[in-house]
Amino acid sequence: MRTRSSVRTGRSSGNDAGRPSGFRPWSGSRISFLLVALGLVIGSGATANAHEVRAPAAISLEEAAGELGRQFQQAHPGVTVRFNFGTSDDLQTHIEAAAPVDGFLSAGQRQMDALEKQGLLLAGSQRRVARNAMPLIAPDGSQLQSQGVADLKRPAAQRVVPGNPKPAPAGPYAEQRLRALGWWDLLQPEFLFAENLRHTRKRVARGEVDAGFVDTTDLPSRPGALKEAARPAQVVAPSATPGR
Amino acid sequence: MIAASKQQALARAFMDLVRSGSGQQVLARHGVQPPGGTGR
Repeated sequence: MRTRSSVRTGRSSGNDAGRPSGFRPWSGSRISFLLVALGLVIGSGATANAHEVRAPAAISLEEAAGELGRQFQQAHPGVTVRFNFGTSDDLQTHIEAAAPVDGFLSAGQRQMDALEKQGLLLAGSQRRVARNAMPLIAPDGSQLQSQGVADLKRPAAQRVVPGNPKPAPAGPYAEQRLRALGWWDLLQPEFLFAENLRHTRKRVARGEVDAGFVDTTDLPSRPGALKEAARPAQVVAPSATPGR
Repeated sequence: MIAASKQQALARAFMDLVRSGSGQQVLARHGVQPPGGTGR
């Protein structure tokens, strides 16, 4: 997990992969998504700086959260937004361990629900603020333009990172979606795993793997080493939709 | 608990920013879509 002292400290090292100029989002189909939820956390005010908002956030939201933090600081001079980035599971655990936190920006609903059940969120404060998708990225120059499992079975995609099934929420959702598409079992021999989505992006950018599933927030923002190869077709089965 | 209420007010203001049109534009620029009809 990476901690950033404030949003004024600039971009993180996690954004080392560039974004290609020529994205080719596939087919414009609607796709399944992760819900991004934001809630206010109870307690820990005694250790707070009164001019600081402490907000752990899913690492896949790092750039977006940083920009939001800068906007907030401009509107509230003297106030610093202090983000702490990590997997939503890890951040949930930190909150449960009484880490000093004011708000939590989770990439999944389950973590928020767990905190709410434990009485760690301010009643009624949880909001769904966005949804995320699951594009497939490949190294720039890859021949992969997947429109189905057959493409992913080709030599251009012999090593695919579906995410790590354990750290939530991205891994389990990727597995759910790939199962719903009927891809999971077929692609199992090609699977390699990554620590989190940013790690997936790095592995793809370095060419260590042929493709990987990430969040749209993990798509690189500048020309560089990656391209979006595809977005899997619609998966809106209830099992692929987290939470309520 | 010197700053509990102020902390919560600031955190709530940050949440309001995220949910505002401006905040949603920021999220959209980073590839995150509006929550659709599931917000509460």
